[in-house]
Amino acid sequence: MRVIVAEDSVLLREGVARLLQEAGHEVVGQAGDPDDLMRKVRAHKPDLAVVDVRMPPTQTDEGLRAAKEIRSELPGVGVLVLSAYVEPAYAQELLAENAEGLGYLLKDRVSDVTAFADAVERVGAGGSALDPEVVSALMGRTREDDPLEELTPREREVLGLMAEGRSNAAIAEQLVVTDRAVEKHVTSIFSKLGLAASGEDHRRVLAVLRFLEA
Amino acid sequence: MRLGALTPLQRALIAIALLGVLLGIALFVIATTSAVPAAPLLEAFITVLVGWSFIGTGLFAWDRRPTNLIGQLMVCVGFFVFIAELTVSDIPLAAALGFAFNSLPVAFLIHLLIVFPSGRARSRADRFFIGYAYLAGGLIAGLPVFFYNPATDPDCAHCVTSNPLLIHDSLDFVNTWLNTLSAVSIPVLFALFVHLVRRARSEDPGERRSQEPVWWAGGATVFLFAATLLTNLGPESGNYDDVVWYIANIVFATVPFAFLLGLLRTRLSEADLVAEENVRLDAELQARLDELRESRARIVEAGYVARRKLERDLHDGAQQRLVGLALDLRLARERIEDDPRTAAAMLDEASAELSLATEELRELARGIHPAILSDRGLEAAVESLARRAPLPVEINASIEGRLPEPVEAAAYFVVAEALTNVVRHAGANRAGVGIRRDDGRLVVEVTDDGGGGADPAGSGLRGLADRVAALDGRLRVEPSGGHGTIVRADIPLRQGNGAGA
Repeated sequence: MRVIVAEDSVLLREGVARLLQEAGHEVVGQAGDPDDLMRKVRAHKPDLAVVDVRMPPTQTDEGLRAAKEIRSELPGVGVLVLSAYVEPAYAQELLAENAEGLGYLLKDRVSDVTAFADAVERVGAGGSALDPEVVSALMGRTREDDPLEELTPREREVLGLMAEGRSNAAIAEQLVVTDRAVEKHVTSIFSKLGLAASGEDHRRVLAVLRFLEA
Repeated sequence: MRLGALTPLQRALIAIALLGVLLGIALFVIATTSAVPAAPLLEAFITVLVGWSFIGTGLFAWDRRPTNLIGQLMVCVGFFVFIAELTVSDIPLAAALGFAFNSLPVAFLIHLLIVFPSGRARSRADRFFIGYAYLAGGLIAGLPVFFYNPATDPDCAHCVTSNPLLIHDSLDFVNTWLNTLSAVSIPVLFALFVHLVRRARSEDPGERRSQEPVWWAGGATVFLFAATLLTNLGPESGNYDDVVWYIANIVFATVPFAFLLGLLRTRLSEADLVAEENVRLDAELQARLDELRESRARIVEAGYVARRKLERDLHDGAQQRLVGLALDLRLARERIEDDPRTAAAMLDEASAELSLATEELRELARGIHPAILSDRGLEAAVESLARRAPLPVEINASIEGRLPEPVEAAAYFVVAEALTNVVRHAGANRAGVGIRRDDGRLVVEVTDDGGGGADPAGSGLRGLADRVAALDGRLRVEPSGGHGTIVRADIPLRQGNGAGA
């Protein structure tokens, strides 16, 4: 997979690049600011851009804006946004109309090499990866009538993993159950929440998130 | 001075002044051309001077304090001094009028002294003296004019020969009547004298300074009039009576000048008043400064406390973990060859520990300043807060665009602290956050449906109040109708509170 890494801290940028290379990906470019990133993305048309939210010149949300620009300009390029903090509101902004080829993770997650590599694979292949913290913030929101109360604890777990963008197989592996069992949970969840079942994982993410945000 | 620039009152006052001048001149002419020799030039001169003094000073006071009765009363005294002096005229009707109104100037003077300086009677005694003065000096003393025939009065050999107001000639009645009136009035006048002396003494020193001349002259005049009445009651002793009369009138003549002096002194004390007002404003300013100084000290102190806490959190939390981590890594490194399994387990533990450390750092950073606030503004930041709250929070925000940064931060921390309080203390089931612009101000309200009892002096709210006050805003904590609490911050959005306000 061809990847571009945009991060203004050289140490972290090199670290992420090395991690990606070790996972068998090709780092075709590194950028330290949004302009550099856009230039390289347009030139290389990589499978994935890993983008830090805070970059020069203002160190606020340049990365976020660049990520949105890439998504609207080059839909074929997956974007994995890394941030020192996550906000569901930003996930919402990034998702906009679709969750295809989008990741939004806490920077800390890079230390969990396997999980990070998995997320990179998923997003590069057009799937989604939402940080568990965003998901738990969304699911943990207290409501007057919480429809999630109807779910069993196991179903909640499955819902959370779905929202993170995992496939049934990945969920089964994580929870140490069979694929069949996960499918049953998913069907039950969708019927309890009144959601239309959806084939592709990234569509499922969007449906679940829309539901959680509503 | 252009006439057009005058108020209607001032024009009326000028007319009265002109009338006074004319009357004075007329009186002087009447008195000096009178065939009655009992009117020496000096007496006429003094009388005219007294009248003019009263009228002039009275008009001055009237102009300066149009709503105060003092000026009008002084003008009345002046005019009736002229009228009373008509007794010296050789024109029968004029002399009769003078006789009828002879005591009225004293009645007006008494009224004047009693209501000085406010223009209002202050007690029942005041009202009694005023009532008595007009009844005795105006009505009772004037009544004998209808029974007095100067032709039959042996004391008045040179007086006018007739009284056109005469109804019945009875000198005995006139004398008895007037002597009775004098006998009754003498104790009343002495009582009045005591009353005035007491009043003068009870005034506070600041007031006394401007009023003293009036009390002295007025009190002396009242005393001397009483003495005059007393000498009149006694057997006729020629010069002795006249001496008292002259002294009384000379003192009487000083009264308007005492008023003038008093007015000038009042002017001085008006400067004192301005000074006093300045002192008051200074004190207010000082109090506000003290308050600001205290709140600034508290803000500094709060900043200091916050830094100490931050330092502790960093040392005891993240740093501690990182030190432990370094040890773990070192140990794992040593075991990696002999006991790779344990080493691997230790490394797993280490990375888990690392996650905790970064999480702690993230939370700390959020507590210092939430990034979403600077990135996306107050509404987004408050929504994020609400999402994290362990109870449903309904947000009602209607602010368009961004606000000045200090205002956003203050408002954010008001909501954060208030929600924390709700969760901790209120026992509430839900909370509400309202944010709106209102007439150049930002109004932030956090409500809950809990048991109330939030303590505005608690350190959290105190710090918030200081923070809001630093932006010239106000923070109030009050029970909301029925149950629950409202925390309301009201922050002006003006230039001083950051750019773009």
